[in-house]
This record gives sequence, structure tokens and C-alpha cells, in this order.
Amino acid sequence: MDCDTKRYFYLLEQEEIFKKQGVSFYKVNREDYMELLNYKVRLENQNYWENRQKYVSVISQFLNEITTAEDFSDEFLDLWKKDRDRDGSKINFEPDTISEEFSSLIGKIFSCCEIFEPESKEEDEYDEKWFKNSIKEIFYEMQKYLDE
Amino acid sequence: MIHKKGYPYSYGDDLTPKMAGNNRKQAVSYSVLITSIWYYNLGFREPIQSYSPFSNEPKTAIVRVVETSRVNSIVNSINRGGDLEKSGPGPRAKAEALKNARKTGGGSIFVQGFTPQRQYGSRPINKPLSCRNNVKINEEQFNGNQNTAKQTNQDCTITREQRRNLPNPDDVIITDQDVIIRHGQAKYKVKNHGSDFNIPSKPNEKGWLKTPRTSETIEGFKDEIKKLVLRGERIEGTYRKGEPDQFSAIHFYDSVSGCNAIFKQETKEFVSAWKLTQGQVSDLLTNKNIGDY
Repeated sequence: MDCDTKRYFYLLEQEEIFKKQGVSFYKVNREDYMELLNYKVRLENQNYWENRQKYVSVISQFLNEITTAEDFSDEFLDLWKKDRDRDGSKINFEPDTISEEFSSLIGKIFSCCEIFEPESKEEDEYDEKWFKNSIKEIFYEMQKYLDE
Repeated sequence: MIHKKGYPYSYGDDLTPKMAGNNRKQAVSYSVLITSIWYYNLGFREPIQSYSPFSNEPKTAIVRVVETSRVNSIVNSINRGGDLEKSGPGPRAKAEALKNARKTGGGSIFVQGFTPQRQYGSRPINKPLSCRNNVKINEEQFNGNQNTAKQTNQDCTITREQRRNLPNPDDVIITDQDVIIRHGQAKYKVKNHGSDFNIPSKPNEKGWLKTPRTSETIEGFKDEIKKLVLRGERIEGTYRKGEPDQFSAIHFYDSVSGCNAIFKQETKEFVSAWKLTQGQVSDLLTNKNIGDY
């Protein structure tokens, strides 16, 4: 177990102790909380990156008009939530450097899903056309990392 | 015997061609003058139009428009330094009026050139200034399908987001934090984010976890957001910073559950709420923003 892993488990344990007491670790010790947060971000990025094939498949189906915009939004959010809540005990502190960039693009897609108006009509601000164009742009960007 | 010349005045046999010419000029002048006075007294007056192409142009710059198409050339002549004080037409204007008079078949240069005349029908119909419209009225909007008309009107006036945020008796006002949870917006957001607040949710027919929009789930969602607002840390920041639609926002973040609620700073209205990813938490605590990656 390397230094990072030891420290991560120690901070995680601290957070659990406070959580059981109903106290925010963030409010008690912000410095340690932010350090723990940095570890968590790295692990989370890795989760998204490991699941990249699934994301690519879901996005491709939407861009190829196999699934509707609303179905894509629902399926993506479901996938995104599962990766968000995935157990952090399976750690890998040698994450791929691309995972951070990939995770950032997944965050952009979430943001689009969040403001997309499924019931909008044509020429509404966040209609299906806007949604599709936005996802297409992000997907082009994503492919740079997938090709590497 | 010298042949009499001139009409209508002559003073005997010694009338010369020169005198006859003077008589004619005098007669024309009198007739024009008398006609002008009659026109004025009978009320055939044109309001004087003044054109001031620049705000600092003196208001005394009066241009009487003869032909609409000539407005620009007249304005240009003023801009070029034309004499704004003279009361009558200058030699160039007289020559131009005379030329027009010839084109239109003669007549007095005053009548043709400088008597105010309204140019009916000179403006092309249905140009931008026209009040007419060629839009065909869809009678269905008035008679047949009243729902269509109503729908169209609504679509033209407010967005879907604005419609969701119309006041409702079931809105939740949180006075302690000066924010409001609109019922319509909570109803809209409960589907995707209800499960983050432990609102009963179930997989839909395609297997994706969703929260049904029932009165119980919506009320439960509003209650959970209210609790989050009251226990969370208030962070005044932004939403979607760097995007064209970014706005100032108030976040309420609970570091124990990891949930965050977003309100518009301008209207204090609820926008959305969900359990943040670690990346979003980092963005919020570092940059006071969510939605920029």
C-alpha cells in the first residue's frame, strides 16, 4: 500500500466517523476535507474512464438516431449516476492522465442533459436540435482522447 | 399701322413688343400671387416638414418636400452647406423645378416645383414602412380551433422555464434564506433527481431509475430541498460559468449528503438540485460554480 492509498483510507475513515455523528467533515477540518476530495476526484475520473465504451455506445446510438433525445438523456443520467455512486474502495491511484479530460467531457454532457427541454418545440432555446448539436460537438472532442 | 401686340393690356398704337413682354410678365406674377393667397386662405396648407439629419442641426432647417425620392438629395444639399436662411428657392432649385415642369408638360415653376403637394401613391405598398400586411389570417385561430390559438399565444410570450415558474399556491417560500421553490419547477426536476433525495423511485420500462411525478413525490421533493436549504452551506456564486447562458446563483451545499440546491440570484427561484459528483463538489468549493468543466 503506497503513501497516497494510506492517507486516503485514513481521511476516509475520519469522514465516516464525523458522518455517523451527523457532523460535516468539511465544517470540522476543511483542509483535510479538501485533500480527501482531491483523492475522490481522481478516483471518480477513473470510474468514468473505465466505463468509456458504454458512454461511447450510448452517445453513438443517439447521434445515429437509433435512440431519441429523451431516451438518450435518461440512459446517460442513469449511467452517470451509477458511476458517481460506485464504491470508492476499489482504488487505483495510477489513473490514466486522459481520464481527467474524459471526465470533464462527461460533466459537459450531464450539463446539457440537465438543461435540455424534452418537451420543447422547434426553435425553443434548449430544444432537441440544440441538444444534438451540443452532444455532437462534445463527442468530436471526446474522440481525440479515445483515439490516443 | 403698328399691329397691336400683347394681351390683355395695351395702351394704344404705340405699344411696343418690349412693353407687351413686360405686361405678360406682370400678369403672370399677379396671377401666381393671387392664386397662392387664395390657396393659403382656403386652407390648402401643407404642414411644414423639417428634417434634421443630425441632432445638432438647427430646427429651423425647413425642407419642403416635393417628391419623396428627392428627400435625400435635398438633405445632402443642406449638409453640403446650403443656405438655410433663404426664404425661397435658389437658382439651382429653380432650374431643376423648371426641368421637371417641362417633363410633366409645363405649368408654373412655383406650382410644379415648390408648392407643397402630397404625393399620393408614391410609396410602394408593403415596404417596411407599410401598415398593411399581407399575412393571411388563419381563421382557425379565431373560430375553429381555439386551443391552437391559445397555445400559439403562450408560446410567443413565455418560455417553458418561465411557465414552470409561474406563481402557484403550492410554492414553498423559505424566508430564512430568502428563496422560493416553485411548484412547477420542482415537478419538472423530480423525475431525474428525486432518487438523490430518497424519494420513492423505480426503474421505468427501459430499466432506468426515475421518480414518478405524483403529488406525493413532488411534495416530498420540495420538503427535502427545503431541508437542504436550511441545513446546507450558502454559497453565492455562478451556474454554468463561461457559457452564454451563465447566471449568478445561490448554492446550498450539504457536505454530509453531497447534495446541492441551485437558486437563481436574480429571482431567488429554485433551478435544480442533485447529489454532486466529486468533480462538481471541487468546482463548487474552489470556484463557487457548477456547470463549467
